[in-house]
Amino acid sequence: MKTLIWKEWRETRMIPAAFCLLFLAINLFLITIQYLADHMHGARVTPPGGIYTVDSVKLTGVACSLLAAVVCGGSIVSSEASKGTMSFLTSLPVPKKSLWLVKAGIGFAGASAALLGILLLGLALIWVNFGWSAIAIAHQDPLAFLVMLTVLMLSAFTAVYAVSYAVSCLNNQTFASIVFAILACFAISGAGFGMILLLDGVTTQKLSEFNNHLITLHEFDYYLALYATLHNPESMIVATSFALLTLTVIALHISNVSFGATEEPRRRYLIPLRIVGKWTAVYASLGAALYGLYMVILFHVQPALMRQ
Amino acid sequence: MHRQSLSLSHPIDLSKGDAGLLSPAIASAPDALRIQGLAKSFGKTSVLKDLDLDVPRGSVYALLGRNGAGKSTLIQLMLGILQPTAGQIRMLGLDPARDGVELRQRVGYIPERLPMYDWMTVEETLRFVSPHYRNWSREDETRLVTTFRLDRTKKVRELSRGNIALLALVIAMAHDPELVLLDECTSGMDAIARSEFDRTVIDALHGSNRTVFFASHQIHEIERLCDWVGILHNGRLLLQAPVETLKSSVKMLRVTGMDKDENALAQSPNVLKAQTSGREWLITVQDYDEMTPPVKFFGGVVKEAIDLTLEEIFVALVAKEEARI
Repeated sequence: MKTLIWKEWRETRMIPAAFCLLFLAINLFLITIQYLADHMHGARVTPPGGIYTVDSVKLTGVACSLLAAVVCGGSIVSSEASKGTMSFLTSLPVPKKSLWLVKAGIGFAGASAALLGILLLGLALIWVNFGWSAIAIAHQDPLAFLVMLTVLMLSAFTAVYAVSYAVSCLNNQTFASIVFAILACFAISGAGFGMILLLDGVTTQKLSEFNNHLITLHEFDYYLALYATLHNPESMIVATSFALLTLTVIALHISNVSFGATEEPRRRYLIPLRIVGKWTAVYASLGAALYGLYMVILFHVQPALMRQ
Repeated sequence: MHRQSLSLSHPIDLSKGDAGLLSPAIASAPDALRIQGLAKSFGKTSVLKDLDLDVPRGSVYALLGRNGAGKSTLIQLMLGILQPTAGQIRMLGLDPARDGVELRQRVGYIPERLPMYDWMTVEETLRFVSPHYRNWSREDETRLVTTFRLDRTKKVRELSRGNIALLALVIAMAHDPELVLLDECTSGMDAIARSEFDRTVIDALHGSNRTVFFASHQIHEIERLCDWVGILHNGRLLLQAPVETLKSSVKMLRVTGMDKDENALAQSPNVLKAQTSGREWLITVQDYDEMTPPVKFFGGVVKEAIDLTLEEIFVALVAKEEARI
């Protein structure tokens, strides 16, 4: 196991360093542009407040971290297949599960190292350019909310890595794997946002109908829990974090099943369809059961308790 | 000693009655490899079909076949890297699908493309693989590295094709395997490098009781190495037999005064190939050893029975099979 970990780290270690350098380069570029704009004569070329702000540091940091997660996850298995060394690895007397685990773990360690490096560089850049007070001004929310936001971002980071790792196990080419991973992350995010917008539209419509006395309170109660979740930031963060962690588990399951698969990539893509179908059925059943339980509690148990 | 007729449609099985071809100790040992009814498909493409194959322990077995015959697929099935569509494999008594990890502990494998990590040095490569083998011997590793004159400080990408093959041989041998699989590991080498590698393999394996399984289409090279041969064609095993049995069974007859035509000869199950140069016919036949001895052949007079090389026998058998299909 030690030698496997050593080998994976030797192959992965340059990626976090590269993304830390990329983050630094982008910020130095923005600083340079800002400096030149501030010292030019004539019309101002940057918006009021400048282009290099605490928010720009945060934005570039998030983007570089997520890209590091995609590259670490999207390349770690597909690079073996593209170089032809997967057969050498699988011919060793090592269980496939151990190989999968080491690759998943070291890839995530690399992505996490990139995240940590970018975080430290970002803090250093903010301190140098804006001072610590700029962070306090930018974050005036309660500590609990900030913690929940951090959990959400880490869940997103982990989900992005897991999806990229799953795509890497399905592909034989490194570059294609990274591109597909980025597309998959965008597609899943788009689907997620679309779902939220759809649900929000439905619940808002029902609220409007209730306000216009077109439906009764009893009928609106069916949508109340959903409406409350969608319009409460804390609830949305918890629900989204849960959804992202579920996505992580599904993606890791897909990667576990398809790791070292020798079928053509075309046939390998049937694997995620099968697994997603299975998980959808499980979650749909669970969701329906929980919703039914909620309705029973709301319309039968609660009134009975109140009558007593 | 009972000899079964060579038959293209039914591969020879070595029954214990043929044990006179091997030493009694080896003949009585269970087979190193036993395959029954093996089939493997990738989607709609059937690569191996209803394969039965036996490799006696301690033998040097050569699996011959053209490119794309299914040799590498068979080896990957034997190692548990691929799963069969149907059939059963028992290697050293183990099921590769269930006991693949344990099997790979006891088997040395040199693949065709020798894919190693080119950024590693020879030393790093050996340190990377050795902890995974419980029987890895540093003494054997040192002896082999010294014998093969490998530079431990050189990166794999700096090694020649031949040296990479030798490094793969060190990895395959240093953990004292019971069975060694070589899958066309000399492809891409020039003739001199191939010859040197073959000599190195013979020297490394000489005197050991290991079973060796070659898969190759370089027939003229492995002819002198092996004592058993199997011929794979279009996913089916056409034939498997001891090399000496095969060579004594398949001969080329020089026949004169024959009045048959080529079509009539082709219909005969014993005739693999026939060509004429005017008055004489050169006819490649199987089951020659059962002709006791042939003086007349299809009305002609047999002037000479010519020994064939394994390559010539292979070409004739495959041609007959392709004509039959």
